[in-house]
Amino acid sequence: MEEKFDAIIVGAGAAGLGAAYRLAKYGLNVVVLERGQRIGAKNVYGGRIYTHVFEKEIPEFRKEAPVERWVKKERLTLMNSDDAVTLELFSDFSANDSFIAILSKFNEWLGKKVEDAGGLVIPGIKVDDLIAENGTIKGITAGDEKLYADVVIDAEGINPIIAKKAGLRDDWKPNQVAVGVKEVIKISENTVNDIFQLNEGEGVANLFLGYPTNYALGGGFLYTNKDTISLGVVIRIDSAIAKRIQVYDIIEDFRNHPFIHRILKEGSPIEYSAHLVPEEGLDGIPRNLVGDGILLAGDVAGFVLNRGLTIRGVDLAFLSGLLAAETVKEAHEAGDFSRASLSSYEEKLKNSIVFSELEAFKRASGLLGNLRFYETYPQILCEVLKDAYTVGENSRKIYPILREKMKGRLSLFTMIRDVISAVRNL
Amino acid sequence: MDIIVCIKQSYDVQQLKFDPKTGEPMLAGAPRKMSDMDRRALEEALKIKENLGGTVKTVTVGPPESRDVVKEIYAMGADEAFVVTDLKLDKADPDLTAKIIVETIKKIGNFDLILAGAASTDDYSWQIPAKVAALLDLPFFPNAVSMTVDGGLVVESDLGDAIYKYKAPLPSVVSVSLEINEPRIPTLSAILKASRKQFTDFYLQDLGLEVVTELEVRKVVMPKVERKNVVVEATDPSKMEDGIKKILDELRKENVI
Amino acid sequence: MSDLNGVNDVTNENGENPKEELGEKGEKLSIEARLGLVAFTIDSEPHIKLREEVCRECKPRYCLFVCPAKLYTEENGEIKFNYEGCLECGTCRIACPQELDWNYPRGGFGAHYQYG
Repeated sequence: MEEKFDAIIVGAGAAGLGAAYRLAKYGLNVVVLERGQRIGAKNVYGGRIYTHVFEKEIPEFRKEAPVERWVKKERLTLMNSDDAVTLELFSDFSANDSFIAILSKFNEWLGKKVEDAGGLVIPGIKVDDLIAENGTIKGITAGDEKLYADVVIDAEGINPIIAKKAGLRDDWKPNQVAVGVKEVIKISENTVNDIFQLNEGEGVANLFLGYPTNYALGGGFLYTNKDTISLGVVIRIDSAIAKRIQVYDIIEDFRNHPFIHRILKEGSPIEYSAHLVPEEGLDGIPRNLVGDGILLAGDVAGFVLNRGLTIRGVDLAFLSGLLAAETVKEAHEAGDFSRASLSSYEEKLKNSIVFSELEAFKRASGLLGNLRFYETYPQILCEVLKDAYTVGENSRKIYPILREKMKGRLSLFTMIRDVISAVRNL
Repeated sequence: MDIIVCIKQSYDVQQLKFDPKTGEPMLAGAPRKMSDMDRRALEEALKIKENLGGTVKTVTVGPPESRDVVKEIYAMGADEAFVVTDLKLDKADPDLTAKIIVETIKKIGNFDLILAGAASTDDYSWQIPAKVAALLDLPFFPNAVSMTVDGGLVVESDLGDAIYKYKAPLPSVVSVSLEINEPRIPTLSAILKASRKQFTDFYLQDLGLEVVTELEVRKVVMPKVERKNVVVEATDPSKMEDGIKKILDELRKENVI
Repeated sequence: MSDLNGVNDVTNENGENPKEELGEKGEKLSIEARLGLVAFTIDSEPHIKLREEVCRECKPRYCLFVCPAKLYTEENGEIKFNYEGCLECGTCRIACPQELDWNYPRGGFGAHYQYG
């Protein structure tokens, strides 16, 4: 093929499209190759996206982006098989700092922005391998075809097929990633507003601990879209293995939990999907994020922050794409695409919120590996509150109920230690 | 030979979702694609061009998102694409659509052959190619399962009761069926070459036309599928004969055999 | 009463909800019914390949329960795999104690999500 690009980007997700958007704005000749039949066809995401990075980069974001609803209520629900205890934050959130989106549709919109800026996005093409000459990446292969560029930005997503071939990272271990399954349930817009007591355009982000994962490491989520609900379960793979969780049925058990069933009984699922989620935070990031002629961005680089209460990845992916583009532009001006030249990308990341946020919560992932938060506490809390609210002939105070429920399951010392650790690290 | 191909961008029916409560298709934002039979009409035109030389030009009529189909039209190898869009054209009736196609063809100029899919993937009305032929006062050969052009146009039309072989004059209008060919999948290099190619974008007023009556869709419903879930168990070979007999009985009961 | 997509109707002719009688819990949709909600374009070649002799020796067989699409099943002691309903997540590759020959389907093939 005669044409050589300034940059080839693998994958039209938030990271790849962020990189392409910026590179196109710089006037560089960029192409994004996407294996899905259309942009967004392979995306799966819970739903919440943080606004800040997008708003700063794309001026028309507020006016155009396919936002389902702006988060107005934050909820945390602890569940056992019959009961649920919910903590809700109802707030002004006047900055509209996060919104709920269908990532497939959101990325489709980002793709349009890239094309408007002059970038090329080609769906239906899977990158199979890299072309290396003397250890330097010179392009990609897709089927029998080759395509050349000064640099490749690998934004392939969570499964590191290309990054492994570049020798930039190993595959994930079962304790480093979670499997997420999601159902989207059709319901009317008014019903969503009525059930969750929302005004038009307002949404709820609800996380769940305990029963949804069958007490394995992970959680459930519920996000209100405009006229659908995204309901999902995320389970760390090592924990799914240890507890022999039937992952294929877990979402249906959750959907039919009495607490969820009375919310969603009006609707039925219209789509089912599954995807992996990086869980490790800082420790999941490979040592080298660049090689000669290649950079990693987004999920493949592990840029996902799990704070327990919130998970954030799409904005970090997009930002890492922008920073990769900045680096490529500098390399383009210097005419040097070696590892040394591209390593300023790692500096840029370290000085950005991608690393500062992951750094701030670096002990969270250790804490979130504590099974008691998923197994013991949701069950004890549900049982204690249920007993405390039950009026009978021998009503008891909360403390003796708590001691009784803790017996043989949890020591007071362990509980206090966990609480302190949670407050400190999350 | 200069060929004009009519290409619709239709809903990708295979991916269409239906509201579980109302049973109605959820059309907002639903994926679209080049209509299956139209794609084969384009493939057939490209094969003729590769064989005999000439040009392949395309006409697409529809709502604004129809413009997205042009990339693929060029990637497959067409020379020039013409697109007529209007927000109201999502619900255009076949009479108007045919009229718009014909007015566009008049603007394109000379041609030897007009090809189109026999029916679109979504509306499936089977009307457009015949109406185009009528408006242009040209012979029409429907539902072609094969066609050859060396030494005169020969079309084999599947008319349901039999396949009719016609010696056709030029110019003519031919509509093609799904069986006529297996369309090419554009290569990456072809897609790249096509990616920045311009196309002619007409609005209805450019053609002196407007949408007067919109097609009213009364109802779209999914066919009801009810499974009988009859299970015949024959776990060991000795029971096999019994099992087969039971299956045959069931099929007879349903008047299938 | 069943309707589109194998999903059960919520109400009957009288507009009542028959599930109320089932109590607070609803009815589970089978994994097959849920895979029916996903649009697929199936490639002729499988994108994930099992090595029979390796699978036969495998004791843990985590794939049987971790696959979100339940595509791995056991038949007469052998592991059977059906690539056609693959959601392309990668869970089986991560969980598999052996080296699994795992790839995505060819470009344009496989699952097409609209609400992902």
